[in-house]
Amino acid sequence: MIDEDFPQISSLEPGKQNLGIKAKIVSLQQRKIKNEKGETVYFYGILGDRSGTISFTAWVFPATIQAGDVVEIRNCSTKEYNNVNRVYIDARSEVILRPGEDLEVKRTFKELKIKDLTTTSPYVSLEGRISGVMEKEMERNGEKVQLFYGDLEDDTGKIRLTSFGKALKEGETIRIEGAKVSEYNGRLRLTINDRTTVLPTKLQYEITERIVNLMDITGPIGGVTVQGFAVNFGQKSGLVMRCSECNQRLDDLRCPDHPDAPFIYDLFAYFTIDDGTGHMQCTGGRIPLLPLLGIKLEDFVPSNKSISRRGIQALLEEKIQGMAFVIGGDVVKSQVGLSLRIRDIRPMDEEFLKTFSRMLEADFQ
Amino acid sequence: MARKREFAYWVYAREIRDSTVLEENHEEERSKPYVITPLGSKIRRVLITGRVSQKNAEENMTRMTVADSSGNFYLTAFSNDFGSQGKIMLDGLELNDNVMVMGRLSSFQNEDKIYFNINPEIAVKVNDTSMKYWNLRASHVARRKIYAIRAARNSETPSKEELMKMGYSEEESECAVRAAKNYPDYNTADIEAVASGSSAATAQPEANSGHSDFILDYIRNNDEDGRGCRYEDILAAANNAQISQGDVDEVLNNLGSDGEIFEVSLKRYKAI
Repeated sequence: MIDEDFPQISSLEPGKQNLGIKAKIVSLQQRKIKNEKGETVYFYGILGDRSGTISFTAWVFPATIQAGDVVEIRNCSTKEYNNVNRVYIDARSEVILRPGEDLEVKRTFKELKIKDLTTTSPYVSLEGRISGVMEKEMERNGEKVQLFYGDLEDDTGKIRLTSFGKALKEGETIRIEGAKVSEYNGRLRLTINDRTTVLPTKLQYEITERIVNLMDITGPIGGVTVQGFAVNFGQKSGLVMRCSECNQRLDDLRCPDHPDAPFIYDLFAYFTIDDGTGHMQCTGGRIPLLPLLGIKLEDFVPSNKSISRRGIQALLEEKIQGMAFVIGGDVVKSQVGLSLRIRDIRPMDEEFLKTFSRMLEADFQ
Repeated sequence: MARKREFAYWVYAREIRDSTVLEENHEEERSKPYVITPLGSKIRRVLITGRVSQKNAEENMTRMTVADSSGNFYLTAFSNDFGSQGKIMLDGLELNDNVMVMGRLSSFQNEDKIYFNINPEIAVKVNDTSMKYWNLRASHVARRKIYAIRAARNSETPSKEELMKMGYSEEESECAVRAAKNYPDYNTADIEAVASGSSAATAQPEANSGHSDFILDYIRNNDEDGRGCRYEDILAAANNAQISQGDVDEVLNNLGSDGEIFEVSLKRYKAI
């Protein structure tokens, strides 16, 4: 059978049944779900050929087939889900490995804003401004490569950016075609590799404070500003001791790995923020929280006898519970859902209200 | 399995006071019923702000009245196992304090009337800025729900999906369908006036009365299809008359608050 007997991926339309296609598995992931029938595993990823790529969902999938393999798929179907056409592989379908074959894949990239990035569409094009650039040398496949990392931000959010080989310049505004989105520690990150195109560009918008409503946050996103009343102050918030050597949190005053190292003070507070459109748990440490308590970093030391566990917990509760705040931070995904890691927090102020008022009124104009 | 946190609605006192529909929760035995408000919100928990206008503290119970720009909220906390924290918080507040209260909504039916009470979970003193912030958000939420209700009433078979296609959120659309079903004849003008007033007061506009007549006349004379005057058309006419967009927005807000015009749907205005 020659390739021309198979339809090209770019020509697949939604709502087709009993399709036969030949494609390369560009990416393959699996997820467990629980329903009334118990626990089920399903597979999803991206199929590609020389005409383009398409997402797929498989309720059954051969364990021996991996990303990079070329397969022939019989009796599959196509259907639109969330406005995206997908290939569906079910119990009636057959997935047959084509050993030794390779297939050139034309990458098609979705043009997205940072707030819309997800791992379900991992290859993307986007633009933004680079900040916080660092670089280091590392070995990859036996060769030395320069690794650049920093943040990319647009008018909707901020994301960690890693580049293998291609230099990132502080403050530069760029357009990226073919970067890969992945998730690590509950946060999304973007990777630039050999096949990614990076071009300087001029942004058509200004990057300012990104004020968002909690109901509009649907996944991990960095660099957002939320507002609301702090409710449900966490009763385990308070003073935390850490090892000055390894920064590990100590239950005892002595680090098991560095028993001679002195301990240092840190803070941990968690609470729910409610903005009238939704709610989200927020967590923060000493850097954003100490100014709220009116304590200077240099005074927040074990030698300061005015600091006690009970006093700090009471002060945190007094300053946080029920108050209205403007909070900047990063939304991350955890086992309990989305939560906000606080970078900075300040009491609600008139200056913010002016901006917020304009933002809400714009909705009616 | 962890229970989903009950949403706390930011609502005006008037919206609660005008509620006449309760919906029992059959999934949770012994739980309080949901209150269906005239704007379609399905409420068991609220987050409100206002000024303490009355306080009556006894050994076993504290009652408090908190007033917002539309009416009164009635708060009660008991010194039992569940309410003692709430009572301590209410006892710490004084008359004329500005407060933020989050709490559970209770209802009591007496003959034909339903009375509502808030059992506070959090009650703290807040500053003017926090009150303004609450008003801005509560006003925005109420106004959007009112526009969605108008759209639902204009439809023969209002559905959540149809309203979402028009740009309303899932919550706003569900509320509008619920309101159209449970309060088909409710007049939203009073709540809208409160909401527009809150928003306008916070934005501190200086009404340009010289432009009001021009815009009101334009709306009266140019509602050609009976669906209201489009904002873009008003703006174009105002621009021709050397009136800025900012002034147009202020005048529209003020005309709405004065009851001269109302928004039949998003960005469409009708003279009363």
